[in-house]
Amino acid sequence: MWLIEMLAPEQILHAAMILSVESEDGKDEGLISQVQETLECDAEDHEAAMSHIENHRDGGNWGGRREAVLHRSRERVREAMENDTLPSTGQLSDALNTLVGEDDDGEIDPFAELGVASGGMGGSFGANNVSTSDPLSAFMDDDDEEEEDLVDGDGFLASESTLNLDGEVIEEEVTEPEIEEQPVAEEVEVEEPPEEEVPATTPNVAYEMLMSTCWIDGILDPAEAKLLARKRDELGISFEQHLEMLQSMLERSS
Amino acid sequence: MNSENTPFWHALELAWCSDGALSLHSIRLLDAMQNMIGLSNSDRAEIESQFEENVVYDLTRAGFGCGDQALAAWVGTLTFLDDPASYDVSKAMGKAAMLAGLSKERWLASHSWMSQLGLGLPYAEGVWLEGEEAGEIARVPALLVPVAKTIGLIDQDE
Repeated sequence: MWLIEMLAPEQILHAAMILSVESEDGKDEGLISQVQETLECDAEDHEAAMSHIENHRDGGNWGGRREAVLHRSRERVREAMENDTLPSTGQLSDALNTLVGEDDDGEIDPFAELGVASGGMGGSFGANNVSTSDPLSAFMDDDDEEEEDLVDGDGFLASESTLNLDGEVIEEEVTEPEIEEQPVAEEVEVEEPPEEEVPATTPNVAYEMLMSTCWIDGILDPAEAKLLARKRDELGISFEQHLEMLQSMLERSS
Repeated sequence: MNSENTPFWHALELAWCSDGALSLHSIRLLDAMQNMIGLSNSDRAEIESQFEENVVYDLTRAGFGCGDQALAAWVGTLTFLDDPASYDVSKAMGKAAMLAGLSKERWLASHSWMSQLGLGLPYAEGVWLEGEEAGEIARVPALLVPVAKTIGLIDQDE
């Protein structure tokens, strides 16, 4: 059984506020008020979100994860507009579209350039639960057991909850009373996850990405060959599959 | 198929390039080679048509196809394929190629060559360190000398 978490209004408000604060024009209180009103959030929600932003913003650096935080915020707002939690037409919608449509400072996502979709692409905040499809998780160093996630116990962005190697959320004892007063997420039971959420080819895609880096300096060396051999074993990729992927990769690059 | 990096292409070079002519003896040797390596008619046709286009049309005849002697010697080395050690040797050669530093181009050329001989898999296993550890290659068989040059195990001048 899988649980998909729906975004709570205060999470959406928080995401919109982050985007507004980080926009070129700076925080737009009018827009935030409209979002707050639409989401039926109270002043306490607004204050909590603002306080959270101030505590984590780090002068706009977000602890070195600015792009990830902005990306996730955009996803949240987009999702809210898609499921009509926020209006998808009208003045407010236009203003929000401007916010989420802002470019990532022209930075290039190397993984997107490689054609590797991240686990969070097109998914909701709740889709973190299926972020096992993140191809990069397969290539974390074995000694590096934990990876910071962007979402804290409040469902806000940029805090301390963690993912393990497989992208599964490591259970933490979050016993903040606010969670009971303000349910963070509505849990909806789904019998089977749609296949699109966890692409069956993910290990192959991840492996191919790693393989493509082996010739980045033009020469395959023993360490790279050993790494690939180990990853084939870990990901359950047969040698025949390896040769097929290698051939198709080289054909594409030629 | 990478026609230019195949044993059959090499055989055509031996047959044609010494004096710009192809003898009847060479034609028979090429037929024999095709059978020995199990090359399909369609693959042979593709290689030969590319060879004609890229090489033969630029040749100037200067004899009667005396390349058949070199070709005969080359075809004789195909007996290596019946050697039980051919698998291990190919794997060892793959490992040696990887240790020497293998570029994409060298990989494509050498794997294409080895594949036409039916030795592509052990060679690839050696390169990519698949399965049991490959041994060291003590001596490169004559059949594999051209590909050993391609991957830098043997100097081109040797």
